Amino acid sequence: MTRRQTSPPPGPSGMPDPPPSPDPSTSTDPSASPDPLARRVSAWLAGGVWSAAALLLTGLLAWMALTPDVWHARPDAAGLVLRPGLAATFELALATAGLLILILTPPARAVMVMVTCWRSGERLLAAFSAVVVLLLMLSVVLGLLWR
Amino acid sequence: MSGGGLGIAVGSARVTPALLLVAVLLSSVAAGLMGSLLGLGGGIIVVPVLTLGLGVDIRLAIAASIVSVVATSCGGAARYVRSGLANLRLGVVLEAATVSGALCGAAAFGLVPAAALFLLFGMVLAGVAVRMAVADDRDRPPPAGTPPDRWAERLRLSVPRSPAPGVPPYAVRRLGTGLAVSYVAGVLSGLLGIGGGVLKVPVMNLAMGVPLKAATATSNLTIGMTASASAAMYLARGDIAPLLAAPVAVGVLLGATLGSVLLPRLQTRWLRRAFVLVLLVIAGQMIHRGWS
Repeated sequence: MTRRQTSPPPGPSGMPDPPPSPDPSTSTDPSASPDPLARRVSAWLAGGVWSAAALLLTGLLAWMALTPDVWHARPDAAGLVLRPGLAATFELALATAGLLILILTPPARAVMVMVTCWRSGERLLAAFSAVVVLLLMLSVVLGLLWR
Repeated sequence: MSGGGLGIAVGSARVTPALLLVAVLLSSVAAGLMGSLLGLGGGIIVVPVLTLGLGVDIRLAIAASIVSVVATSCGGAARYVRSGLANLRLGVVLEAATVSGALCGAAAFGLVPAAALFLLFGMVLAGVAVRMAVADDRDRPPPAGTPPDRWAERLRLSVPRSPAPGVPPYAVRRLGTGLAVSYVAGVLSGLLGIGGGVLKVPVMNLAMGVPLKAATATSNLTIGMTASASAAMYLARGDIAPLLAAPVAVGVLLGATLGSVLLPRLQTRWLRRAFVLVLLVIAGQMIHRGWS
C-alpha cells in the first residue's frame, strides 16, 4: 500500500483535481491499491498461477513416472510419447487441467472487474470489461469450431 | 543429448522424450530468466530457443510460448496490482482492443505458413533488438499540447496521485492511438506467441503519457489476458501439446521469478547491450530460416 494520502505533487497540465482521500474500507476504485478489488485480483492471480504450475509439474512427473519407456521410446511428432490407456489419460488430464487453470485465470479477473464496476455504478468501465469477457468466450467457441 | 549438440531432431529417434522434456524445461528456465533480466517477455526468447535450439516445430513452439506468457503475466501482475503500480482501469480498456487483435492473430495463425511465421518473428525480434539498443529507459514528458483524453477522463483512467514511490501522477492522453496500437500488439501476440508488451509499453509511455514504470506494470498485467484469448483458441483448436506446453510454462515462470529476485542485485545495462547482438543474430537466423 504505497499510495500517498497526503497532498499530491503537482502533475502535468490538465491533470484532474485529486478526489478526496479514499477510505480503504469503502473505496471502489479498481485501480487503487487500497481497493479490495485490487487485493482480490492480486490474490486470484497469484493463487491461479501457482496452483496451475503445481498441477502442470505433477502431470509431468506422473508422465515420466508412468511411462516405462520414457528414456528409450521413439517420440511422436511433438517429440513426446502419447500412449493410449488410463495412465496416459491421467497425466494428460493433469497437464490439461493445469493449462486450463492457467488460461482461465486472467478471464476470471476480467469477470471480477466487470462485476465490481457494475456494482459500483461504473457502467462504462463495466461495459469494456464485458466486451473483454465476451471476446475471451468467443475465442474458445472459435477454436472449437475451427477444430 | 543427440550427437548434434543442441540440434535435437524432434520426431526422430535421436533424442528420447524424457531428454527432450528436460531440455525444454531447462531452456525455458533460461529464457524466462533472461526475459526477466532484460525486461522482455519470455515468449520473445523461448520461441527461438525451441525452434532454432531444440528443433521444435514453430507452430508447437508458438502455442507453448503463449501459455508461458499467461503464466509470467499472472505471476508478475499479482505484485503490480497489489502495489497499485498497474493501472487496472487503463488495462481493461486497452484489453478490449488487444483481445480483439489477439483473436484475429490466433485465427490467422492457422492459415499463415510456417516460413512466414519465421520471417515475421525474425523481423519483430530485430525491432526489439534495435529498440533495446537505442532506448534509454527514461520517462518522457507528456506529449506537448495534447490535452487529457475526453474518454479517458470519463472512464477515470488518469491517476491523480502518485501510484508508487518515484512514479508521478499522470493524465492519460490519446486513448484512440493507444487502442489502435494495442490492437496491432494483440494481432502479433496471437500470431507469434509473444506478449505484445514490445508495442504496448512504448505507446503508453510515449503517446499516452503513462510513466514508464506504470506502463510496464500495466502491460505486464494485460498481456496475460491477451495471451489467454489466444491460448484458449489454440487449446480449443488442438494446437497445444500439453506435455510440451507444461514444461515451457513452468520453466519460464520459474526463470522469470528467479529473474525478479536477481534483478535488483545485478547491473543489467551491459547485459542488455550484449544481448542486443545475440538478439540480432537470432533474428537473422529466424529470417534466414523463413526465407530458405
